[in-house]
Order: sequence, then structure tokens, then C-alpha cells
Amino acid sequence: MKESTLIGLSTFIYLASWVSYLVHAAFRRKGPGVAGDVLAVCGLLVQTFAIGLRWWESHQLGIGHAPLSNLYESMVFFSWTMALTYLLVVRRLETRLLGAFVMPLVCFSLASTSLMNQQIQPLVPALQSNWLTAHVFTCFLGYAAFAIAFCFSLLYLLKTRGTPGSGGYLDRNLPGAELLDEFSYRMIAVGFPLLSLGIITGAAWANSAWGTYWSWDPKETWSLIVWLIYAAYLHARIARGWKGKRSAWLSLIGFAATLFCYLGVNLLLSGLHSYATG
Amino acid sequence: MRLFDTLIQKLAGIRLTILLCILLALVSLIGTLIPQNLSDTQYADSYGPRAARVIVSLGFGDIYHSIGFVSLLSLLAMNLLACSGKRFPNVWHALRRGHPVPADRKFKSWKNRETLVLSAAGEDLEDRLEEIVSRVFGKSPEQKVCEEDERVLFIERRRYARYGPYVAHLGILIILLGGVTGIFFGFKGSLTLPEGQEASAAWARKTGESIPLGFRIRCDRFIFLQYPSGAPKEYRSEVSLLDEEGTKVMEAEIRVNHPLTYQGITFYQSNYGKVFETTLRVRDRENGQETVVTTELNRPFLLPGDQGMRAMAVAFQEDLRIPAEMVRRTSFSGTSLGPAVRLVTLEEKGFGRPFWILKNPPESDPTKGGDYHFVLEGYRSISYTGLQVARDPGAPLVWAGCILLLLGFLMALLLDHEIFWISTKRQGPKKVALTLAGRGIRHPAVYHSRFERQTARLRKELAPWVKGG
Repeated sequence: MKESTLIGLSTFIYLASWVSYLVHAAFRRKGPGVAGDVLAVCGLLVQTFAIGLRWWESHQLGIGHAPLSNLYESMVFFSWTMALTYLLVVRRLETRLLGAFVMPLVCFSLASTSLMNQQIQPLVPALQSNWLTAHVFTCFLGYAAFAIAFCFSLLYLLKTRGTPGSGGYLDRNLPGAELLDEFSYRMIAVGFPLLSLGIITGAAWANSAWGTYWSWDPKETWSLIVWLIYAAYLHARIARGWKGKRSAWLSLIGFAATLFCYLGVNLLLSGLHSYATG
Repeated sequence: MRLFDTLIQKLAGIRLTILLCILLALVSLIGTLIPQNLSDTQYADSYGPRAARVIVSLGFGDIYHSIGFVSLLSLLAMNLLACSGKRFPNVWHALRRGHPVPADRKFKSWKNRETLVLSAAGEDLEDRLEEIVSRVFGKSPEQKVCEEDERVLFIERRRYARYGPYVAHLGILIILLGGVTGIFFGFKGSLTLPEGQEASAAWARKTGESIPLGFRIRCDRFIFLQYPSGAPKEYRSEVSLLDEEGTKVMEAEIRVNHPLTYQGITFYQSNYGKVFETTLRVRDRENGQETVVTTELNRPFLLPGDQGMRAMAVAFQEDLRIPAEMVRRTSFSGTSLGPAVRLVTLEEKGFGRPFWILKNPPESDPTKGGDYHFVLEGYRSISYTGLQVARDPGAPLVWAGCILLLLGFLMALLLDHEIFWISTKRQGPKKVALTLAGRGIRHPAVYHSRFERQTARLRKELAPWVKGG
């Protein structure tokens, strides 16, 4: 079976999972929610197999490398980390409504890969490094944590939009606002060290490839911008007691910057990461 | 004095940290929108003269080295120092002081608490409680109170987590220090080495000054490998290192991602290309004197005769091409003219007009070259390797700072300092009330689920004594 077919299949499974979660949200039945969970797990399994298959295929071609080397591979991996992080987090929640917000992110990022160059390409000399896997892995785990934090913050803002205790649907079915706020913070507290590790491994790599660990390339600068936004978030929260709305908005801004750091820089600005566009 | 105190207070405030983070993010953002390090005319071309003047005068063209950006970074460093300097002693003393038993047993009203009523028929429970608690928490408890009817045990885990923020901030300061050290005591340069040639100095990237290496490096061979698709597979320079007298010390390879470090100086594979060496036959048209010279590009050579006239090859093409519309107007039979060299004579008042000389057919135009007739006899291409050369004594500091930063994050964000009080109070001849109260000091809100796991384990261990259990 072909890797691209499997990716397409997993996209549809995630789509079905999203629809299930929406049905669950709309008709307030538990069944579709459970189905959403099961489908999400299936999607993740199929996708994991597809990633493994691509890795294996690259070795068959004699140019073996972890499938993390271009825009297509990174996007597949990004949606994979989001689905995985979601499934790890959802076990600790009493609600499945989060899925209705995370699954579209997973679906759309995976669906967008059908527009990209899917060929397995050999690594150009700059990418032939042991840092490749460590750098991409940590960065994208960080991005995924920020994505889930974004969803929690969104839920928080939705929950607190109406008058509290109004008995509206979201109000009754979502975990307490405080808990949503706290979960969002926990995801950022996990994502921030991962992003830092991603930046540091990137710096170490740049140092061995180009002789300079920091050169204010747009990608580096944007990763610093994201880092600074979340650093501000953590300081505001831990030391100045910012909670609720203000920190939720900061989390939304942080994720927007994360997306720009990942996609905007690759597609709109030129720089050292240009191999990640094709 | 008042003002000074307020200033120090502000400098040590977290409000300033947040403000600086946001300002640094905004300024960095500007730097990604305006291309950096272009010349004044390039800015004028893309933004118009007025906007270009604003960009250049505000330092936006090299924003990360502008006074404004460097000031923000310095302010951040001072803020981190002041902030940590103000808070660290308090935390240090509080943690050294430890936790005295609260007289009113306040912990019994903590949010995370659990009370078990145990039957204590014999001394058995009293003896085993400590052992059970050590097993559950992985640490032996400290006995704070031991009276006839009341015992209070105390356990503390991961106290070091409280130092996390200070470790992380120290890491950032060390990274900044490493960066500054690199700027002042290191250098970044480059080196272009044609095969077979050696160099004993590099060229500084910013100033263009020559930096002596203290040894010599020779490029023996440059190899460029491609994948079948034509994509680059490997750039490899095979070099020899020689001491100042020219004795070979070692041979080595430099590849992308595999730099070579020798005597504190590191060489990185950066680019490559070809240089051409041309052989020219030059004849003085007047007296027929002739010389043959072999020369590289941009290196003046003497022309025949004793006037000391010189010329220079400024460009070489293995296959000179001219636009199709020009072909119609000239006698050339096609657009592809074969090997050609572009020459220029050096005259007293400067350069003469440059002109192309083809290998085939040999030049017959009597006006080209003025008093001299040039013939391109032959040429040879030589690969060269382009190396980045750097010495950065600050790099080890940067990496040490990074490790501290990550350790600090681990301690501050992912681990927590937990304290537990366990009190047993005799409530009758055979009845003991055990209260367990716990708290995660830095992240109280997420501690709850951990507390539940911990109490569940304790309850299981104490099951034989639980009343009615």
C-alpha cells in the first residue's frame, strides 16, 4: 500500500472523528463522542503506520532518513503530534468537546499535504545531520502543545462569554472555566521547554553547519518571537497572577505567532529554512 | 534617594520583564519584515528615498545590532539580575528555615487533605506508620511532634524545584554573556582556497581585515557529489594543515555539518566554485616583442616592452554567449562563441576599456587592445572551496547556559516542590484519626490529581487498619 493513500485514509478517519465529536456536541449523546475517540485512535494508528512506511521506503531507495525533511513531511508530522497530544490529554478530561476543536486542526493540516510535493527526496548536505530528527521532533511537539493550549483557551473564552452559570449548553458540558484555564497553562508549560529545546538544537545544528549558532535568520527570529510571547505569558501568569481572559488571549496570540513561525516564514519570507518550502 | 529606590523597585519588577519580552518581540518582528543589512541604495530602490532615510537613520537596516535593540537586551539582563537578586535570598532563607509545625495544625484545613479513621489495637501501627509512609512517598518522613496522643510527620519532595526560575534566569544571563564574549574575543571570517593553494590568514566578515591563523591551510582537493536527480549530495574539501614553516601537520576533511577545528579555529564548508587560469600570448604591435603569461583573474600582469605597462583579466567564460538580436547585427555565426577572456589595460589614469578576446577565431581586429595584440592560447579551470572560519570562545558559555536554561525549566515548570503533613491523633483507646494533607507549592492547581494518587496508595497500604475497611 502506498504511503500517500494511507495519509489520505487517515485524513478521512480524522474527519469522521471530527464529525462524530460535532454530533456528540450537537445532540448531547455519549455514543458519538466515544466513536470520536475511537476514530481518532484509528486515525493516529494509520498515520503512524504511514510515517513508518515512508521512513522504510526512503531506506529502500537508498536515501534513508527520518521523514522530517520538507514541508510535506513536517506537516504530516505536525498533525501527528497534535493528534497524539490530544489523545494523551483527553484521557484526563471529563469532556470530549475539546475534540471538536482539535480534530479540525488535525484534519486541515493533513488535508493540506495533498497540495504539496510528496516525493521522497534525498537530503541535501545541510540536512545531513543527527540534529535533524532532534530539532524537528522537539519543535513540533512544542507546536502541538501550543495548538492544544490554543483550543483550551478558545473553549475558555467560549465558556466565559455568556453570563456564568447561565445554564447554556457549553456552560453545562464544559469543565469548569478554571480547569480550562489551568489546562491551557499546563500545555504551555510543557510546550515552552520543548520549544526552547527545539531552538537550542537548531542553534547547535546551525553552529556545526554554518559556524554560527544565531544569525537572525527570519525563522530563528520568529521562533524567538514565539518564545518571548510565551515567556511573557508565563511571567504574567506565575508572578503577576494573570488568569482567565487576559492569559487566554495571550495564548491565542502565541499560537498565531507559532503558525506564522512554522508556515508564514517558510512560505512568505526567504531564509536559511528555504528547503522546508517544497 | 526615593527616586533611586523606586527605580530599583521597577527594575526588579516582573512587570518590566513582561514589557521587555513584548518589546523585544515587536522589534524582532520589524527586523523580519524589513530585509536586513542591505546598502542604502538598495533600501532607496525598494522603499523610495524618504522611507529609506527613515529606515537607515532608525537603524532598522541592521536592527539586531541597533542601539535600541541592544539597550532592550541589556535592560532585560539587568532586570533578570535585579529580579533574581531581590527574590532569591528570600527563597533561600525560607527553604533553609524549613517548615515548623503550625501550632494550630492549619494543614488540616488544606484543600488537599484526607482523613482516615484507623483502629490501632496495638503498638503495631505506630511502629509501621513511618515505614509505610516512606514506601508511599519514596522518602522517609521527618518526625515533627511525638506526644502521647499526637504524632506529626512531615515529608518534603523536590525542594530543589523552587530554585528552577533562578537556574533558568542564570542560564539566560550566561547565554547573553557567551554571546558578548563571542563578539569581543572571537572572530568570524571566510577563506577562498583554490585547489593546490594555501592560506595563512582569513578575511574578517564585517571589516574585511586579514586575520592571521597562526598556521597554514592548503586545499588539496575539492569534491562535489550529486544525486542522480542532480540535487547536491556532498561538498567536501580535503585539506592539509601546515605549520608556519610549511611542514605538514595533518590532513583532514571538511564537509557541511562536519567542521574542522584546529588550534581553537574552526573551518566550515560554505561554498565552492571555479576559478580560471588563462594563458595569453601578447605581442607589441610596434616592435613585435612577445610574451606568454599564465594568469588568474584580477591579477595584473606585465606587458612586453620596458614601459612597465600592465593588463589584467577580469572575466572568463568557457562559452561566451551573446543575445540573439546582436547576432544579426554582427558577423558572428551564432550566439555561442566558445572560450573567451575579458581583458583590461591598466593605464596611468585608471582602467582602459575592457574588451573580450575569443579563443577561436584569434582576434584580428587591429584596434582591440590598442598597442598590443592579445591571443588566448589556452585555459585551465581550478575548483576552489569557500570556507567559513570562526573562533568563538563564547560558544561553550552559550551551551552551558542552554543546559542551565533547560534544567531550570524542568524544575520550574514540570516539577514541583511538594510538602505533606501526616498527623495521627488518638481519639479513643483503639481509635486513631490520621490526616494527610499535601500541597504543591508552585503549581497548587495541578497538584490535586497527584494528591489523589498518593492518598489512594496510602489508603491501600493502611487498609488493614482502616475502620470498617
